[in-house]
Amino acid sequence: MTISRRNFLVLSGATALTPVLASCGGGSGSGGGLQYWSAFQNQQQQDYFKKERVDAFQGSAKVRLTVKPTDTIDRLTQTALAAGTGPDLVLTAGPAQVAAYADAGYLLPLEKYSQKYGWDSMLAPWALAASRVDGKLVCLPGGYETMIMIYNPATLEQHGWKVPTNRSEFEAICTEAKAKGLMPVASGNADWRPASEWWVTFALNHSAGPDAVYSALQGRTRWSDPVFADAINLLNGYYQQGWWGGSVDSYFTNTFPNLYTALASGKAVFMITGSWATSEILPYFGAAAGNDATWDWAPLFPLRDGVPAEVWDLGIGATLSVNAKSANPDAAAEYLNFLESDPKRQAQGIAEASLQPAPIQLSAADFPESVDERLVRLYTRLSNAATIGYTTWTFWPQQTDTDLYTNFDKVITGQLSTKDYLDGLDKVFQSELAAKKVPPAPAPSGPAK
Amino acid sequence: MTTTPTDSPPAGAARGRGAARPHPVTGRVSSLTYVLLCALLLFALGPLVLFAFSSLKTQSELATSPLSFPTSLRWSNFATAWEQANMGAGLLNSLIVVVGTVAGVCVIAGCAAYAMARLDLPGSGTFITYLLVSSSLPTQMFLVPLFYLWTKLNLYDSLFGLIVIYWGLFSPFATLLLRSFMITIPREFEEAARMDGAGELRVLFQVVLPNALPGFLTIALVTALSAYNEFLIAVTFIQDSSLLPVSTTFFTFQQGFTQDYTLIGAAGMIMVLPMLLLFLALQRRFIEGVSSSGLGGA
Amino acid sequence: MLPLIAINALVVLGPSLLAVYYSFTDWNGIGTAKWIGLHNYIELAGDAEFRNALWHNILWTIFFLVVPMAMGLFGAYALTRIRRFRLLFRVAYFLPYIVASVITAAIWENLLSPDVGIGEVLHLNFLGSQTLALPTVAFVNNWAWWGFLVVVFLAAMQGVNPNLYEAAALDGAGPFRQFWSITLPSIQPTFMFLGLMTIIWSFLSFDYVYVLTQGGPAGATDVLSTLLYREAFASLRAGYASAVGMVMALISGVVVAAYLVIRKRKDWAV
Repeated sequence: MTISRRNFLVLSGATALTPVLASCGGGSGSGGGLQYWSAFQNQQQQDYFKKERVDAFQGSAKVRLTVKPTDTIDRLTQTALAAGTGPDLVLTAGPAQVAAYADAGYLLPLEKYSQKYGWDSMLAPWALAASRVDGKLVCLPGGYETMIMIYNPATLEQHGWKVPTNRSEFEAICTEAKAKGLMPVASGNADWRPASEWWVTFALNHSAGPDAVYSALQGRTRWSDPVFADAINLLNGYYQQGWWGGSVDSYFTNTFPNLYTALASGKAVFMITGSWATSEILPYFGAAAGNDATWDWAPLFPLRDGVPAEVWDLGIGATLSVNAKSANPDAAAEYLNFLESDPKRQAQGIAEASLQPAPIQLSAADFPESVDERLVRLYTRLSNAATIGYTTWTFWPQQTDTDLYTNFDKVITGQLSTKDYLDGLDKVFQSELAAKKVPPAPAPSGPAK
Repeated sequence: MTTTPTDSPPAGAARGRGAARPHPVTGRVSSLTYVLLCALLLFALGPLVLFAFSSLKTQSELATSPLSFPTSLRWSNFATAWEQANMGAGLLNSLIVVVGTVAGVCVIAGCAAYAMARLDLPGSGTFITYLLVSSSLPTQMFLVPLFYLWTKLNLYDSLFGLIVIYWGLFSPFATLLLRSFMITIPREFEEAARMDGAGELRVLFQVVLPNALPGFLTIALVTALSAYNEFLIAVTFIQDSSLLPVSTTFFTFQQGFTQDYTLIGAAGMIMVLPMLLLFLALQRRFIEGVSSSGLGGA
Repeated sequence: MLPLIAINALVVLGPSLLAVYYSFTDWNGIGTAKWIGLHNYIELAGDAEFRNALWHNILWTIFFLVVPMAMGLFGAYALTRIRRFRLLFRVAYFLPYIVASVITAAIWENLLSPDVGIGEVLHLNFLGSQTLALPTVAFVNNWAWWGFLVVVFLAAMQGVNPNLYEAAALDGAGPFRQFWSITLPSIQPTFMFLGLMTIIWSFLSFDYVYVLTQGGPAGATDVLSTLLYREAFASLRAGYASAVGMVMALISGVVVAAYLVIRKRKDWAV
């Protein structure tokens, strides 16, 4: 519920607050308490987390939070675990990484605690399924996230556009916007190269559709199938028309602050991004930015007939496990339960610091009155999603995922054909499938809860 | 070209000469030479000056006129950067790391270079080859094994542990450089001292070291720069945020506030300043040092 | 010498030997490693990303053998021929070298920005274009580097016997002739040694690429060290990454060996 590695670093004031933590005398030393390394999107989030989720924990041990830079926390954790140390609570970027840690025996199986605290009935089944490795529960999903479309209502109004609900409406607006010199879709990966996979996730789930993706993830069909080629070709076509980030070249140098600014000023129309953006975007809109711009969000639309009207791409931005070497596993599990439970606490985190909630059922009644209505709408609708999609960073195995975003950049620059791209992905995927490295995925239909 | 954390300037080459003098200028100096030199001067200093300007501007001023002189000097940027990135603690840690690294490298490289230059040990050619090759290994490759070792040795997450790594990484070059200085010191000096009945230690401390002083200053400056600017290893081997040196606080700071380039400018200026002063203080000695080292021509 | 050997063995040699072992395994950087023989090396040979990165390292090496060397030689030679302000120039040229790479990157990222910087004026996206990105990163790296070469070459040139110049001047040789026939041959060992170090460092080059482009766009600036980093920490293939590192070390080893052979033939002292 803290960060996802897709949430890059742009706004993460993570380090700026090192003083705070430093003064808390945080030491690596095992000197009592539970070690917990985390990273945050911004200072506000970090302060809130420290106060409400660390200091407020009245369990059998004290939690010692150490803040790490967002882009290095994965590597630091990996290095430390490999060397036989690491924090008591292990934060990862998602199930693929968990599988690697679990295989190596670094994570404590949590079944015992699951029974004790009733996690089975508390957490969404899809999220629990993705938290198992070889049938054993080894982590709990931290924050969960989805893909949405963010826009500035004033921009749409000014040009007489409506929020698109299908591909042709979307393409009509993009064509018109491009002709007017606007950036149809605010996107770029200068700050976070893997961001390309956000848009591949969009294409796969909303053009090929969640059924096709699920079937390929199960190994029943191949990534080289035409349905995926169509999806990639479609997305690539959008890039070639300059809809994504203005042009391919500027896509590579667009930073997130610039994109949010463009959205606020009306120079960009849509942004297709993760739910984490609802907190990142705040400094660029309204009083905080010295303008009167507002933003809103809408669910993503289908790019092909036959794909359900609303598909909610699910992602686990972060997972939490207990280090097998922890000196105090009971207290660590107790803290895990504290972080995951209580809808009101989750809702308050959303309301006050835009923290991503644990995947538990949330209803409008759980939210405090101060909450931003847009966020209530987002998380209550998400809790009741009928069809789910699959974010690549959650459900793809590690090496396939790395190839997926690294090589997609070569598709849009024309160095790699769609066919070669998908053939290459399929080859790596099949070998990881054979090695049992593919995280378990829930079926696409049926309520996500 | 800064490359990896092992980066440091090249070690001595070639037979050196004693203190070199500039040769007298021959022929007239064309004004074209000055023009070209000034162009290079602009190339080197221009970006630094603009960077300094940006640290004194407001954000909106920087956005609208990035290349002009600041209209009013916003010194508060420095205070903000100092506070937000906790640069005071960072600089203090850097000071400890730099002093520790430099002292250790001087001792280690001093001993090794003296042995290689004077004691006529067998296989010193092989040893030179080894030092060269070991400096060409990519640090990223052995990061994980090294980390493992450091955890076992309880050196992880301590400034001392970091310093020891820097000793290992920066010593080979320092040794090669220092050795080429020592070769240039005439052996007669030491022999004369020995004839006067001085022991080996006294020869070392009273003859060799004073003569090699410019060499030591050179490797000290070069090692200090490398240690001060290194971030990849520092961020990996230091867990406790209160122990991080300033290079890493700046690095993360830059990502945390991408949009506020004025603060990056201020933080950058704060970070550069100590090394700038050190260099200006030592530069005459340093350049003498380079001149009289093996890097001096044939 | 012993302390050096001990510390070097501890920090560099020991961990490197482990990396040699890992390069023959399927180690993911986390769990246990399984011996897979030459598999990583065979895969490397057919890996287009590896070839792409290697090619960039070669281009990078050529760039650094030519551009900074030429600037360094010119700067140093010109400084030996002027009377005034020599100290000022020398110090100014050296200043960029003392700036940390992260700061240098920040300076130039802003200067070249396609939105507000030189990139906007010239309508060029220096770091976003497939063709411009690599030269741009090399250019930024060079900005911080060439001044160091000036100082070193200047030191070497000051050791040249002045009588040679006087004799040449009497023979009517101009500055260019003097440079080619006297200066360059006289500083040849320094020159060759810096060439050697340039090659070694070019293959290790990491900081600027990592900070400015992370190897992108679309691999346009990917070099061996960023590939290694990505394989080890994003793809969780530490064994494969070790094999990349081994190849890097091997290339440098060959270069060092070649240098030592030449050195022996020409009878230089290191």
